[in-house]
Amino acid sequence: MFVNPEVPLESLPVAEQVDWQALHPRFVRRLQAKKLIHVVVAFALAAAAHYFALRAAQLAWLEAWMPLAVWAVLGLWACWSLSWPAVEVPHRGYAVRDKDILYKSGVLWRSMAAVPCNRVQHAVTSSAPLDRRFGLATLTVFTAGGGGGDLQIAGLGEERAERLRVFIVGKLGLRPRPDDEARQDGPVGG
Amino acid sequence: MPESGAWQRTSPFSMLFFFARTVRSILGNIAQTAASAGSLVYLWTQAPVTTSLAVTGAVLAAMATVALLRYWCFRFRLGEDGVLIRQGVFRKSELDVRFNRIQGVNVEQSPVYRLLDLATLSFDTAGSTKLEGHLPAVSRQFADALRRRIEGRLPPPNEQPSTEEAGTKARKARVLLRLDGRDMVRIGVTDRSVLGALAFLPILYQPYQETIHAVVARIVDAATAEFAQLGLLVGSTAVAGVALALLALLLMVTIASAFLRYHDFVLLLEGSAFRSRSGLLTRKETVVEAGKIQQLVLIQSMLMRWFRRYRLRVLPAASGIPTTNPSGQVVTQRLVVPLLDADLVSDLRARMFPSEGEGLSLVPAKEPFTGISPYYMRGRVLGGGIVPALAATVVLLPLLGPSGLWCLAWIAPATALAWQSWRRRGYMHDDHGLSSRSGLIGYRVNAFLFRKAQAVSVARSPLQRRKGLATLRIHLASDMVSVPYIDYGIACRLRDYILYKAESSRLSWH
Repeated sequence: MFVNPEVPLESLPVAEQVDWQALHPRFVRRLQAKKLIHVVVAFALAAAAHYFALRAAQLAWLEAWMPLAVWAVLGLWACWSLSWPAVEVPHRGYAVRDKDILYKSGVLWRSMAAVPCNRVQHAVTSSAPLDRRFGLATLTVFTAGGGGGDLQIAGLGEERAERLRVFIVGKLGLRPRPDDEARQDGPVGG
Repeated sequence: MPESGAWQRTSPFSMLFFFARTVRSILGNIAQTAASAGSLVYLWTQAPVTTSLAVTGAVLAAMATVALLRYWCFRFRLGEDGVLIRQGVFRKSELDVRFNRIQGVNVEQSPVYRLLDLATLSFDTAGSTKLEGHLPAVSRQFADALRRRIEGRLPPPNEQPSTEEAGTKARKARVLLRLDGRDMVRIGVTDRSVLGALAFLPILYQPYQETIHAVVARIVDAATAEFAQLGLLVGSTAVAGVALALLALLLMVTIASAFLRYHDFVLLLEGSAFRSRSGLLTRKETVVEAGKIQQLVLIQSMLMRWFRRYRLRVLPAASGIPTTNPSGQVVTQRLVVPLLDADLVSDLRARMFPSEGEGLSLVPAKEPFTGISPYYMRGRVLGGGIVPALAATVVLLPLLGPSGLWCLAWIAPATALAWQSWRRRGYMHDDHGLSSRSGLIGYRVNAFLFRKAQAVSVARSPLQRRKGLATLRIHLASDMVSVPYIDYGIACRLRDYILYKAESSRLSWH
């Protein structure tokens, strides 16, 4: 006989009370490396503009303080860009439970997203050249439709990302690739 | 009737479909439309007639060739559980559409296709944000048979003995709503999309402005001479008359547009499927299975409130946001009931979420909805009023002098807007689903069942953290529904309960 007992709401698991996993320690340096490239490019462009605008005296209407102000803003932006990852990354974290995947992020504007495993359409790991240089990968979990429910966890170790992907694919009841089974040799967390 | 298993082409008349698609892709965005209209006007006003004819002919011939190539490269094959579509002239693509994954089916007949008894069948599937497949210019009989097969009602199309037999076998349809001429007038009066379309008129006005100015000047001269004789009172009455005539013209355009889209609108319930059929020239038919419905969106504009009527959008998966397919055509596969009253809203809600969500209300009455925190206004005023006003003042003050301070006046209307928006915001839920109400002048209510959620998130801004508040966002396969500025504890409990329902429900979400 089909029974459907009521579940006491107090007994539902609370998503906050999980053991959050930190991202890979090298992820901060990887983000800083990316920002460093941005900073170098921005400084090179600013230096070129400075040289052509002032030395060639084509923009004589510029006040003397204006280039200084631009350089000061650029300097502040560079300091902020290079130091922010160290502040922001510790606030990111993920947790894989039996029935769902959780991801938290944000320092000022914080959010915590949860994707039930039985709603995952497919999972993909990807890595940019800079990621590979630091031995990192990004795991993206896709849900159905246009509601923007996809979850992206950047800054995982390559092996961890791959094991997570295999675990999630296994949860979907999909047949893993032949080389996936060999990789799934340990627990996912930790 | 085409057979299952073999690769087949559609009717050569599908070239009309591909031609129209090319035209639509050109008119797909404002820049392209303006550029095309501008070059056409320039060509026919500046160049010699023979050149104009030759260029126009060449462009049309090129478009026709593209349509021919697209038709030639388009093939499809019916399998046991799906349809395989091969298409593309240079960039080949193969689309495997599984029947059990299809969320909605559309059958569309343009006037030409109606004469030839042809139809274009289109369907979209879960897991995609764009319409997946079209079968253009197949016979109406084949389209109906395939549609029924997709709905799991009848055997494969090639086993269909005849349409008469199919008709008797098909489940009896129940008419839920039929709209008449008066309803078309109401739809036209309350529709805003046509007014938006009129905003494009200045683009066409540009090349003809000299002629228009000359005509207007002549009318004004004649009118001034007349008014001088008739007196000021009669003159101003005449001006008001002209304004009223313009308004009447605008209304006529919107009402004509309503007739074009919704003439003879009928909403049918066939078993568990909802079918809408409407259109004066192009007949459009949309079918959505009750089980595939992800979200109901009820809209009531200010004018609709006068009529005490609503508009209902029924969203299956992957159709919440208008998206563009590779050819640039805007795609919104959803069932729209353009005009209905509160009783029918409740009736449809009960039928579309059967045996679940009985406590959910779609009608935006005040009582059952719980308001959100008034701090919502502070967030809106800060983000939408004070910060942009201060930024604009800082930028404009050195350029305009003291006049730049007028930017600060924006804070007052922004505050009024935030207050009105807060009054409209509200939510309600029962054990199975949630309704979220929003709006500014009118109302919009989003309703969904918890077990259909794809992902849930709880977000907190610094202000929300200080005040113990949070924004709950539920990502569905159709769209995202958010409930802002509610108690953090309630948001977390709702999130955990939604996850529990999504993870434990034995019913399929699509």
